[in-house]
Amino acid sequence: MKTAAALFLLGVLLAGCPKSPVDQIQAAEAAMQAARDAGAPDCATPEYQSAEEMMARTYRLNNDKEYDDAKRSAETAQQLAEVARVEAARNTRCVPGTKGAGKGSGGAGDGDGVRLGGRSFTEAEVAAEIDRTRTGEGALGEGSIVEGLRPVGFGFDDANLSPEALEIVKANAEWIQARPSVRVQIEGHTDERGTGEYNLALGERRAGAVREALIRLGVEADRMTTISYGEEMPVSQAHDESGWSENRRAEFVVK
Amino acid sequence: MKRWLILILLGSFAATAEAQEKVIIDISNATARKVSVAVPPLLTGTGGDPKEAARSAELLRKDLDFSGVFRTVDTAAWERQAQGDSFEAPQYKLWKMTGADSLVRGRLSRQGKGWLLELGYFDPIQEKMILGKQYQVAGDVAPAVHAFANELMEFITGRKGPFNSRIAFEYRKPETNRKDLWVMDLDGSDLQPVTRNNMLNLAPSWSPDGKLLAYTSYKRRNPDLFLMDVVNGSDEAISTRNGSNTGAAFSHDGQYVAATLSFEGNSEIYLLNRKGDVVQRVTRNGAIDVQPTFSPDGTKIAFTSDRLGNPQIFVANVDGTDVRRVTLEGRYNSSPAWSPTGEWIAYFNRDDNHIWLVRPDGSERKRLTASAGSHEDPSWSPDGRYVVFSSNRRGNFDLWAIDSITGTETQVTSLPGDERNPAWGRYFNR
Repeated sequence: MKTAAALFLLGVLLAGCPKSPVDQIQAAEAAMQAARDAGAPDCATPEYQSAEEMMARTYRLNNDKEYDDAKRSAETAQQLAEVARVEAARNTRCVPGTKGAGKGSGGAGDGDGVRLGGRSFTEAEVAAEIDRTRTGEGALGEGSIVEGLRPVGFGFDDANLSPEALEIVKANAEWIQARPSVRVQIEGHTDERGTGEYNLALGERRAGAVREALIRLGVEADRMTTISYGEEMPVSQAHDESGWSENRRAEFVVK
Repeated sequence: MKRWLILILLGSFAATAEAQEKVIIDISNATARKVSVAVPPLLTGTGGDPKEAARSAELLRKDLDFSGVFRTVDTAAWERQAQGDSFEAPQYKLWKMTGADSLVRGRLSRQGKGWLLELGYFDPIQEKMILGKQYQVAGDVAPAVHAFANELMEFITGRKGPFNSRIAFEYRKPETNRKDLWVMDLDGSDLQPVTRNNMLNLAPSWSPDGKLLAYTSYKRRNPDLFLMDVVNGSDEAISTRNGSNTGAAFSHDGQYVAATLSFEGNSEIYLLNRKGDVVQRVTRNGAIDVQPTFSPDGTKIAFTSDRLGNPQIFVANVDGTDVRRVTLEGRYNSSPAWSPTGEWIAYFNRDDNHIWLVRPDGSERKRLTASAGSHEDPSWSPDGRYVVFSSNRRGNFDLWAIDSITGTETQVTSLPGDERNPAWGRYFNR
């Protein structure tokens, strides 16, 4: 009788307590190693850094026995590491193990101050270099876009939520509320028309409008951050209304 | 900054007061006829290099055509007949046959490891030199040639030319969503990146001494404000507040930076000191307030605001009082740039995609650009006569410059990808 009770209890514990996502963590670690081998720490710095941050988060969650979140985080880390590896492989100027072109001389803090009087380029050299490298795209910010969170569209020079947009915000609110450990960043974007800095402020207003709506729908404010990219990160390169309407959006990334 | 102090002005040749009076032209008149000028390849003195001599004349022709004041004439047909021409006594009658009103003759000689460059501006009718300069050059002759073009502009118009100045701009390589900041000399030389993080780096602005660049970068995953010293390469974050930290503009005394910050929940304009502490909040309005630009006396700020429903240009005192709308027409006006002379505010009119000029009190306005395509992001030359802007008339965005008096336009960059948001800096030597 006692044994049966103990077995029952053990069964309950096992069911209620998912296992550590060992397989996913190992797969992510393998992807990180592949990215390192391809020279990603030097040649695809932003992407590799994102992957590393996601990996650290995975270990933290795993330690805290947040196994569901740890599993998702490991999968994201693996994806980011793969992006970093591809980026690094594309970057033909970069030789694995050497520091990339990214470091300026004597730069304090961010290592990005580049003194004038260094190597200068002719326009023809710049064009030739571009032909050689053709840098690809990767994540600029941290976090990753997930299918469950759809972008919200806007009208020209407008940050108000249309009834249509509000429906998407509601669906996104449900998705977020169903995943209590997830934090999201809302990215505001504009189309290419108008002025860069005004568009940066407009994108910020769009991200803010979506955040406010989510708060009204019951999403905790401290689970959301906002950032604006203005017109700088279009999803469509089309210079017409079809492209513009696609680019006027607030996007969600999971952190 | 390898070009500081390598150029020594040795002296000027005599120019008679009587000749000076004759060549002054009315520069305020847009329809004034351009002064035609013959600029044959420079003569070579002892050890002079004919290739450098030809290149010097080529650089000078480009500057003079850029100026809007001069029009160079083709001299090729006459050059062969100019054997035996000398710097001291040009064959005035021969050069007059080119149809030019005036002549620039020069001589390039070897001097030690460098050059001696002599340049003169001549009147072929009166048969005399009007302006003459000698330069001792250690390295590249280009800065000396541009210095002469500046002198000549000042002699003719009363205002120094824009040459030997530097332009910073946002550069997006093709098929990327990243921008680094690049810097070049007005003549296209010394082209190089000053940020190399391959993230987003935006909205450069020069300090009055031309040593610092204020800019916005996403390198810490947020639009933050940085100050980079392009002389020693140091780079520091001055505002990393929550939200956006962007659109910096230096005051003309270099003490303050006006910037757009949104840490209080909405984009507002603030005055910061060079460490990034808020000295003064300028705007207080629920609308978007961006793109501050100082008046030359530092007492006023022009900016873009949509407080009346759509973006327009406003002017306020630096303490935020006395806010006035200066663009009264159109549905979308932005990117104000206050000229260093204080006469005009240049701005982008999105209704017709042109650069316009408006008086700071809104009393008068006129369209500056006239070509096809969009003309955006105006920035004034240090002398206050020219405006550099980005234009997509050839497909992608390139930088162009226009003479605000005659409308003469010159293409400044033609890189693949987009060059945007130019900031025209100060002179880098004198």
